[in-house]
Amino acid sequence: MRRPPSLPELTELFSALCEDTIDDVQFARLNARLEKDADARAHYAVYMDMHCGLSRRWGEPVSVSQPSTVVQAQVSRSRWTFSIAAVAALVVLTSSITLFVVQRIDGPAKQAASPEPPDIDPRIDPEATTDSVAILSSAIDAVWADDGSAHVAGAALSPGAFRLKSGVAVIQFYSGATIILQGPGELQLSTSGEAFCPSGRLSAEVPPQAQGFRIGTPHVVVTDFGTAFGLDVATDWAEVHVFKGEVALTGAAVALANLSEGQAVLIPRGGAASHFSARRDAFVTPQEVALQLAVSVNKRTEQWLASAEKFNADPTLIAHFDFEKLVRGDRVLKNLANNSSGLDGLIVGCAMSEGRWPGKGALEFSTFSDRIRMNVPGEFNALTLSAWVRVDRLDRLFSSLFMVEAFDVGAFHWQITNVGKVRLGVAGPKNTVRSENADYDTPAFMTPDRLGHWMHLVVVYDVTAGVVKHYMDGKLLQQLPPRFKRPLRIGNCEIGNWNPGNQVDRYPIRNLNGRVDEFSIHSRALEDSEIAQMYEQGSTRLSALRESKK
Amino acid sequence: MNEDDRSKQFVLQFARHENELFRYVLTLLPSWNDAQDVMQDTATALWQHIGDYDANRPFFTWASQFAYHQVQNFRSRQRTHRRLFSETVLEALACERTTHSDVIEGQRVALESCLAKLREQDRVLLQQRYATDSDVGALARATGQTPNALYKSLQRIRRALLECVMHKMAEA
Repeated sequence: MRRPPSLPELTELFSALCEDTIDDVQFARLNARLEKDADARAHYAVYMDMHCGLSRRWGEPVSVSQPSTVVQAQVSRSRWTFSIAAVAALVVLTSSITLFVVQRIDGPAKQAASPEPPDIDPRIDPEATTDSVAILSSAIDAVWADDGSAHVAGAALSPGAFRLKSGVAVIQFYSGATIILQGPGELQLSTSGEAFCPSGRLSAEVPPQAQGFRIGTPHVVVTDFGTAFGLDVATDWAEVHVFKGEVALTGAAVALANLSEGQAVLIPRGGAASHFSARRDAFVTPQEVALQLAVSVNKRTEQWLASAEKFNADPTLIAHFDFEKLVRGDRVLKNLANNSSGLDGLIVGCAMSEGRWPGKGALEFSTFSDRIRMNVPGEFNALTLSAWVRVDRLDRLFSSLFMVEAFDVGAFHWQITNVGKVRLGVAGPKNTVRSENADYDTPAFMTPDRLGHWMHLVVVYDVTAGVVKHYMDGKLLQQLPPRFKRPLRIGNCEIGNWNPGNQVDRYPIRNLNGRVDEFSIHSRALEDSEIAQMYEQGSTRLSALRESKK
Repeated sequence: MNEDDRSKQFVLQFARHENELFRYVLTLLPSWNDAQDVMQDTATALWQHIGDYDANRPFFTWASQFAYHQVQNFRSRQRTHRRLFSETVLEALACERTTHSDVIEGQRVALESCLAKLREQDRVLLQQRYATDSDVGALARATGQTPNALYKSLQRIRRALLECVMHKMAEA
């Protein structure tokens, strides 16, 4: 339950703020109240509106009519006329300049370099929605017929057709029914309790919670009463095998009785149905799926470990953490890069966790204390940062992937904004007026459906070649020119968090909410092909690896 | 739209939304002078980006993004963090900021009717405070009160106003 704000105390602080008599202790108290209390913020907003409204009301020349006013109001006009006058002046000035330029170069005039456009949406989005009806629980050697790049294990599935060329896919509907689809086969998802299978072989486990689950075929509709059954569908016939419980068959050309445990039926197009005994071994069982998954994970781990040897031998590799072999209470994260010594990570907080595949080690960042600290001396004309990360929530303005301490010239912050853009923020030269910072953003791609799934993120900064590049899952997302021709520096830095250095007592919270299970830094710009390879070697999908070898 | 029309449109829109924008900025940066500086920067930035403005979208929504960015710029320029809200507060305030013109208008109407309910001497005191740029000390001297008493009075009156406005808003 929310505590009602203590209005007398709050309004005392508000009033002191408006009269500029607030002291630092009071301000800190105000900040703390506003930080944790939405009601306090609502009151604050209305209070400040009121403050403006009153100033506006009496600061206007219109209201000077009352002669009883002790102090005349002529000075106060300036409060409200400042910016509109300035803008009007600007308009006149800039228009004439623009006109002049247009005449001179006889082409469209470009606006002068200006402050970065805003890219953090300060307003609350409408409540997020989804049309998903099922989840792809696992995919074993799955090759999808159409662009199935989004069909990775754990992905939410929306209504539509899923065409499996080969391999096995396990789809769990939100109703609780699970389907094991064998390739080649197609399944069209309609709702969380209904699907259509034009062709293919599948088995369904329908627990009591999902009773009434239906699968249509061109020849018959199978409605389940809380059972397990198999379905084999071709153009000219459909076979239904009941392993457990009972199913109803409807919509067939001929009337059919319910089918019970151990029974099977062949329904040819337009012909008479023939009954026979159900064959469990004709369909993949959940046990077989589990076994194949285990084998697949082993193969995956072996492949990844084999690729690590060459990876660690790269002389430009500054740091590589694989988060393996961690024991509870470990504080040191071993740097595996052959070429650099003493650059181990120091673990502060962070719970041990599971990574991309079962058994893979990872660290979880969830509280604002969690971080991995490093110190990397030197300046770099080029850097490549790579992370396997599972972002669970974007509940901060900035969620850190990797941030250099404070934000002095040459420092950089690799982060995700609250609207789901990956950003490399680089601190540029400072002068007394303003600091020149540059933000290199991807489009907002980290949508709610991507949260909770592992992805491979890379950023490349190359002053010499004049390019900043963002990658996701091995593919180039964004390419931008750097604003400053100066090297980056790292020094004290943190994976999954940030600290402001020593200058301030209170500072913004920027911790990552999610997991990291591999991280590396190179002192050069990796090629597109190398980044694609990193992804393939670390991907959970073996099939992706096989396809790329063709 | 040609350059001239665009300029006129812009000045018109800016004039219409200046108050709203200033309130927005002041809420995030609660110092009148600082907020004025940021308004100036925002006006400049808006003008430089006027080519990006889509007349079909609400002007305030567009402009407030620039204002937010300028507030951030201003904050990053500050050497001390004195009287700057934490990032969390800033973000929350910006997020929760109502952009609904009906609500804003309702608030204005509520303020007017609440002002009418004030005692005459309280209203006059408020007017003196807001109709002048001079500080509370000068006002205290002019009215023969101690500054402290004046602060307390202003605090009390504004609190009564806030309670009244919140009450009216809840009713609406």
